Amino acid sequence: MAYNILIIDDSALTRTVMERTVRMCGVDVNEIRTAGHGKEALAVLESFWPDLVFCDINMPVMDGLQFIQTLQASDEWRDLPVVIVSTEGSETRMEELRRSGVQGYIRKPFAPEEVAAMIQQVLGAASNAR
Amino acid sequence: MPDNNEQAILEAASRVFETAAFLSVYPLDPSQELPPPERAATMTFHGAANGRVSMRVALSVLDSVVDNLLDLQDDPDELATRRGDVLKEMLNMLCGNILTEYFGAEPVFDLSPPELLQDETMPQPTSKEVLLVAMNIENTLAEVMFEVQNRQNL
Repeated sequence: MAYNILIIDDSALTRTVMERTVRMCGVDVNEIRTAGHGKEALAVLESFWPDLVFCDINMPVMDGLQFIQTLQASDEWRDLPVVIVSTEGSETRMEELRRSGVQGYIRKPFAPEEVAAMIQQVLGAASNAR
Repeated sequence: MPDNNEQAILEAASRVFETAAFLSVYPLDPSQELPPPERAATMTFHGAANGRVSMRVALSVLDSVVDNLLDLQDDPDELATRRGDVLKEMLNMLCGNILTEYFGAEPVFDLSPPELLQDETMPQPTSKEVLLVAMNIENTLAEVMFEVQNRQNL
């Protein structure tokens, strides 16, 4: 199965690096879309159904926490797997995110192997649940 | 601030530049004359404490990051336009990592978007609790300034 991935980050550099990393990590990828903040990502979701979302926390317009809360309030997107990719290292915030339904956390700077392992972990679990 | 905080900033910078961009960071050897920083950026943090992190680096460091991460060596125009984004993102990663090194993993901080400064000079410190750390990144001089303006819950 080929997967659709959505990458949300206000840094064009990180979006590009994440996209390249995902394409090189050995997972069968169908399509990757990107967005610069949560509101832009919600617009992408109107016409794109991702299997996994990588999302930053600190972004302008709509941050990662607001984006996740919006997904959680939606019948359509509540179960969409979201992995946070952020520079933040607060255990308190990570616990808050886990309670919000976030599937995983990758801290910047990251090694490509961490992204590959997270994709296998989250999408492997999703495949097994089907 | 005690001396080991300087080491904490150096370790955070090493982690960011080495993991994200495969660039080496070393303590500054005062006897060595290095090319000076040419670009600067700053950002603030708010939460358990408020403050600011600023960084100055040489253009060659930014070009190396772009080259290592994006493979744009043959496209000088694209390389130049990416420098600002690289500096902001490296500072963003540095800020998050310094805060964890300095305050531990419990406190929560909100980070403002990094801003590029008009010239290569550091902003004037606005706090008495200031740490300025110079380092060697790929044989160029780089500086990081960490300011804590108040501690609300620490």
